[in-house]
Amino acid sequence: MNQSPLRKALKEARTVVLIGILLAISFNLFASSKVPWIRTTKSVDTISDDALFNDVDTTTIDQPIDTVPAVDSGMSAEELEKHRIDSIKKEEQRVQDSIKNEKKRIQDSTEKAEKANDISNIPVDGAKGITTEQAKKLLDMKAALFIDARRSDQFGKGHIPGALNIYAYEFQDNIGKVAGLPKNKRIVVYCDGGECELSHDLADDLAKFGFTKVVIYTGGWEEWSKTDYPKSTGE
Amino acid sequence: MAETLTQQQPRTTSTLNEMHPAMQSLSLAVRILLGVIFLVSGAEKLGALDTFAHAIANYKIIPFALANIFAVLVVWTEIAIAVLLISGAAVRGTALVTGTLLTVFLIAILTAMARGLEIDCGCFNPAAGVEPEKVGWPKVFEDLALLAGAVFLIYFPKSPLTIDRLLRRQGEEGEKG
Repeated sequence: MNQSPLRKALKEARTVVLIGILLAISFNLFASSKVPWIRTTKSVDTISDDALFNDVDTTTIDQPIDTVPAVDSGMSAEELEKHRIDSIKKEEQRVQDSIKNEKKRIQDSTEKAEKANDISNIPVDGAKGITTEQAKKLLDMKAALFIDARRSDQFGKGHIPGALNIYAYEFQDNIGKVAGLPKNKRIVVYCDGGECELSHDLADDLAKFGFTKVVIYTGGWEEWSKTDYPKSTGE
Repeated sequence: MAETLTQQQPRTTSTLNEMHPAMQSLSLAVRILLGVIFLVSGAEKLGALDTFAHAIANYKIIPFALANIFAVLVVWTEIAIAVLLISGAAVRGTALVTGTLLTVFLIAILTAMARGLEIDCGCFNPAAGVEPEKVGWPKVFEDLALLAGAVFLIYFPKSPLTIDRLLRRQGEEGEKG
């Protein structure tokens, strides 16, 4: 018996969909790259105030050490001259040490940037979350560097003042920018908040890059924009 | 009435069997083109399922919890479509599923644009360092072009180099023998 073309097509379509479903179920049961059946928002524990604010570091530059000894008013002209030469030599030594340290720091950063090209296998502990109040306090204290993980156009429409924009999907493009960030400073990453996962992705990438003081502002721009806290627009 | 319908059926089938050779060649080209596009798209997404599920969740059309299931189903349906179109098996039915899938994509893109969402379209998984394609009019036209191809295959499914034709020929030879 001949089937009508439409009926035959519908029957074939049903078979195609069934094949797709069977392949999907088989893959997600046995493949190593399977995903959880139910997608959940990435939840993080909130960091305590003690842990967050006790290791606050508001400096980013090494402070110069005063290596010049005090001048004794009873010194002779010869002693004063010797003292002046000693001071100059010590200052020269300090500057050279400082340059050497800076060169080493840049070299380390470059090596880490190169290693970051293959960051997929490095295990990472999840970053902790912070609340809107904690974020505001860190901003007021200038104790953290804020990084907005959203796209540049969203960043341009509004962001936390002083925040840097590194779109999580373009982390590899921003490795140069990341290498120049201070390691001793607290870093706060945020995105839209709610179900937005960009901040989590960026925090993972930063942790793989060697940044250990990364926290996620889970409320994100959605919560910040509802407050009367300062906001910036543009680049 | 029922008798009239029964009489009309063989004529429709006969018309399809007598497709002009040029149309058959065009059907072959459309089938292979759609098949390759869906194969590349499906294979790329399969390598980054979480990213694709992420893109689906961003559309905010289906519940967030179902984004992973939807992603796995879409990816494997795309791969099944690709294999069937390239091999030329069940072309009309496969084209029907392709058209349905493309219509769903089209509605998703248009609703995202209407809501002002400037999200990644999730069409292909971009290589590292390449910015993902965003929803917008270029994507709408791209989707419409593919949809036109699928509709063409629903009306003109017959083409050379198909598994269907090979099996039919073997069947006929078997009957003669």
